[in-house]
Amino acid sequence: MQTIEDNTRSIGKEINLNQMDVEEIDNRVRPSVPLKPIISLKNKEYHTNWVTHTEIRRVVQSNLDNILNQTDETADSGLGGLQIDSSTGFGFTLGEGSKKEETAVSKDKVEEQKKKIESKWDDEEDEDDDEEIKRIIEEKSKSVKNMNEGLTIKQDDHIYSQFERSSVPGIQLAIGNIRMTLNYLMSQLGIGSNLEQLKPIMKEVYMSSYSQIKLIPCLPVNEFLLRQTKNRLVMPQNGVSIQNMKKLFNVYYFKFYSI
Amino acid sequence: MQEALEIFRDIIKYSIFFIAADKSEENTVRELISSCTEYIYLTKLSLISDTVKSDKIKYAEVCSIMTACNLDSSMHRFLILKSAKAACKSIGNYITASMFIKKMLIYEKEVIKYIRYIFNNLAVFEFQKSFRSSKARV
Repeated sequence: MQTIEDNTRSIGKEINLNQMDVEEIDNRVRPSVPLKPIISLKNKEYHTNWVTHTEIRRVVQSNLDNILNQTDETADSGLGGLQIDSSTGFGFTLGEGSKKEETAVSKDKVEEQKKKIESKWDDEEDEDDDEEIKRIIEEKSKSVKNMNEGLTIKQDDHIYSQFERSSVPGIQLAIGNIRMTLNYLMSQLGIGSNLEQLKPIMKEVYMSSYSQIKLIPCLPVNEFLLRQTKNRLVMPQNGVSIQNMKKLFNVYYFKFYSI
Repeated sequence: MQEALEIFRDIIKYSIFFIAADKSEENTVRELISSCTEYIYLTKLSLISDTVKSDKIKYAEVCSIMTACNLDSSMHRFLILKSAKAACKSIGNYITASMFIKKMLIYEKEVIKYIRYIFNNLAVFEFQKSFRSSKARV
């Protein structure tokens, strides 16, 4: 306001500005698209214009599919506003057309299966049986929904994809592929029996290779520990290190002086 | 001793899941595993010797087997040789005892160095203790 008034005075003209006009300008500066909820169900936190790290973590395809496969009420009310742009910065994109087609195909399949099951019992014309089958199907669908409703499914990091094919059992254990570690132990070291002794150690190693260090709020959390070697190679870091093992060794190494 | 045995075993189990970046790290872990195995032998034999302490001949036998372990520190070797020498002496087997004494003489200089180091540190620790106690009184 002051700058405009000063400019007008310097030119020689005087323009009277109302505050109401300024408010209108302010309103135009704001985002033209209003905040639209992606899904109008219980998950009211997800908004297209509010892009944060937590949203990206929560809004995963599997989580969305569970919500999409719910009742038809959702399709009428909230699915029209399904707009997740690729502006997240973390590689999460969900177009409108392709995903809708997929969901439509999956819905058709489910309906066909239901019809097939129902058509088997049409000849007998027993309403009670049909009701029972419907009940069973509904219960099953409800149980599946309840199982996946509260879960937060995370996208796999690129680190996992890098070290998935490594033949080191330590790396496989740190990632969480326990079956692969057991296979490598058998092939490399010949450890095939008495694996119960290794169970607690494997647990400790797996748990110690993860952390929750949040350095920058907008970036994802550093969960998987990595270390830089002398040759500037990046290797995953377990809880097992030389220092820790030497510490353990030295506990009773010095006790042998009293033999 | 039982705790020591469990810990030495655990170290070997942990080393299975160690991720070595260089060859130097690999060599250090290998050395650690080899030393752990030797100490496991020693702890096992020491546990057996505790059970067979009443039988002097068997005790001497076990002690003489303990000397075959390739331990890292010369002090440990010296102490084991000393215990084996004493056990052989108690039986009257002076030939093997003299053999152990000859072996002990190899580690004499290192042991003396170690003992001097301990005594010096002890003097320092005693001085520190006395200084602290005097401070507390004041």
